[in-house]
Amino acid sequence: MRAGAARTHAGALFFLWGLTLSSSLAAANNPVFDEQERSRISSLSPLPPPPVDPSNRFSNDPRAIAFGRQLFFDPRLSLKGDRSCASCHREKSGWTDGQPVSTPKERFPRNVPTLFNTAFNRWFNWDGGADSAWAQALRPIETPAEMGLDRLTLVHRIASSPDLLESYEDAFGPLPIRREALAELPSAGRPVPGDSQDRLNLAWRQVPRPSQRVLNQIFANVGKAIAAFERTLTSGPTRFDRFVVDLLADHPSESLTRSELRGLKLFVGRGNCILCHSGPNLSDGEFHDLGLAVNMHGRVDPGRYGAVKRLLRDPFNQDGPYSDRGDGVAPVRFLKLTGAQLAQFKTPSLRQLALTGPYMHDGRFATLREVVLFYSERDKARPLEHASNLIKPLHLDEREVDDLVAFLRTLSGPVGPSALPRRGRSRSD
Amino acid sequence: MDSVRRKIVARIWMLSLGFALWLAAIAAHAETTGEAVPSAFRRAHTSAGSFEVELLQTEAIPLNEVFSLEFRIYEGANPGVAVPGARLTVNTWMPEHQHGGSLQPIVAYHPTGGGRIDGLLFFMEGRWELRIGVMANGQMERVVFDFDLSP
Repeated sequence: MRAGAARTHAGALFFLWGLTLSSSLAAANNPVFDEQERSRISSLSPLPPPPVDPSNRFSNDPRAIAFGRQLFFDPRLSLKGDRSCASCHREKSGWTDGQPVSTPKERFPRNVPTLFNTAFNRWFNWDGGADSAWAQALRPIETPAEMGLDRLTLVHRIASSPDLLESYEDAFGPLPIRREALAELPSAGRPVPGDSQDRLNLAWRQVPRPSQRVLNQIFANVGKAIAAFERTLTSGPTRFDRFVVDLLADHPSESLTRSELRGLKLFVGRGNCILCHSGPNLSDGEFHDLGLAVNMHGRVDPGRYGAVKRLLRDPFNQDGPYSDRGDGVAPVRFLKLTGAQLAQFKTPSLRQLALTGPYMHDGRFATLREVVLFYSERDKARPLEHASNLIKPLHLDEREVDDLVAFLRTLSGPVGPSALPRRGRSRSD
Repeated sequence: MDSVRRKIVARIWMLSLGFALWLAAIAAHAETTGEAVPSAFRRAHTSAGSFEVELLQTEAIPLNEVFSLEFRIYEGANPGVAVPGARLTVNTWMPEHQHGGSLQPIVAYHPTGGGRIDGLLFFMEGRWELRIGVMANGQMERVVFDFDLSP
C-alpha cells in the first residue's frame, strides 16, 4: 500500500509538471494575451474617421474634395503636361508608385509614401518636410524632378481653363485676381530658395508683393483641394481589426491564424515594435535614426535635419499666413533644429503595408521579410553616434520571422470609403 | 521509514507549491500596469527647496498628442505664496530611451503669476520626465515631474 501511495504521489507530481510544461508549449503555439498585451493591442484598433485638418478649413468640403480629385489626376499640374499626382500615387500600387525610389538621380532619392490614411499624419513625407497635407501637395508641383511647374504658370492655367476655373470658384469663390492684372504678370515664376539668379526666381521678384500674396493664396488653395481629396483615401477594417473586436468582447476569434497571433504577441511584446508603431494608425508620427541614412550614392541623407530647416521658413507651414489655423499651437511653432534630427526618418504607418512596398525611406527592402530580418539582426545598420539605443537586434528565429511577417500582413485590407469615382475618373486615366 | 517517506513527499509537494506560487507571482508582476492618469494638481519642490512648482492638469495626459499644462510657482518655505516674475525652462525626456521629445515647449506667463506650458508632446508609451528649471530671485533650481504613459 505504501509503495502504491508513493507511486500515486509521484504520478500526481508528474502530472502537475507535465501540465505546466504542456501549458507552456500550448501558450507558445497558441498565445494567450495578458492584460498589458490586451491593453496594447486594443490601442491599435479601430482606425477612427480621419481627423479634420485645422489648417485647412476646406478639408471636409465636398466642393473642395471634388476639385482636389480633379487636380490629383490632371497632368496640367506638370510643366510638360505629362505627369500628375497620380503618376506616382497609383491606386493599384497602394497609392505609391511601387518602385524603390521615384527619382533615383536625385541627391537623396526617397521612396514614394502611400496616401492611405494620410490625414492622420502630423508631419508629411519621410523627413517631415511639410506639416500639413496641403503644404505637402504643393512641393511636388514645383519640384523640377517631379512635376516641374511653378505657381505663376499654374495660376495662369487655372484662369485660362474654363473647367479648372469653374471648379476653383465653386470651391473657393471668385479667383482673387482680375484676368487683366494677371495678364500683366510674367508667364512663369516662383521663389527659388538658394538660387536668386534662377530665371523663375527673377520673374517672381518682378511680381508686386500684394500680387505675390494673392498668387500664394491661390496656390495654397490648390494644395488644400488636393489634400481634401487625399483625406478621403482611407483603409477599411482589416483581419487584425476584426480580431481586436473579438478579443475585447472575449469572443473566440478565427480572424488570425496561430502564426499571426504569435507574430502579434511579438509585435506588442519582445519585438517592441509597438514602441514606435503605436496608435490606430500604427505610427508615432515622429522620427528615428535606424542607422539607414547612408544611401545608394554613399551619402548620408540628412533626413529630418534637412527638412526642419526648410519647414521653419516655409510660408506654407501651419503657422504661416496661408494656414487657416489660428489657435497658436501648431506643432511647427514648437519645432527647433537639433543635431539629433540628423538621419532621422518618420515612422511609417503599417496599415495597408502589404500593398505599399518596397520599404524604408529609400525603398531598400523589397519584402516585409527583409524588413523583419533587418530588425532581427541589424547587420545592414550603420547608425550615427546619436542613434537610438532602443533598437537592438532581436535575434528572431526562423519561425518568429515568419510569424511577424504573417502578422504584418494582417494589417492590410480593403480600402475604406473614398471620394474616388468609379467611372469617368479623370483626364489622365 | 514511513515517516521519512511522508516527509520527503511532503517536501516535494511544498517545493512544487512554492514553484507554482513563484510562477503566479511572475505572471502577476507581468500584468502590472502603470498609472497613466496623474492627479489634477501635482506639486513638487525644486532641488534646493527654494520653490514649489504646481502643475494643474485637468485632463488625462494624452499619448502622442500635443497638449498644454498650467503652472504656478510658490515660495518653497511659504506654501501658497506666489513667486512673482519667475521664469521657466522646460524640456521633456525619456530616461529609459535616452532621448528627449521632438518639440521644444514654450512657456506663456500670466500677468498675475504662473502661466501655461504649450507644445508638450509625449509621443511614445513609457516613462517621461518633464524637466523644469525655475529662475527667480537670483536663483535657478530644477524639478522633475514623472509621467508614466505605460499601457
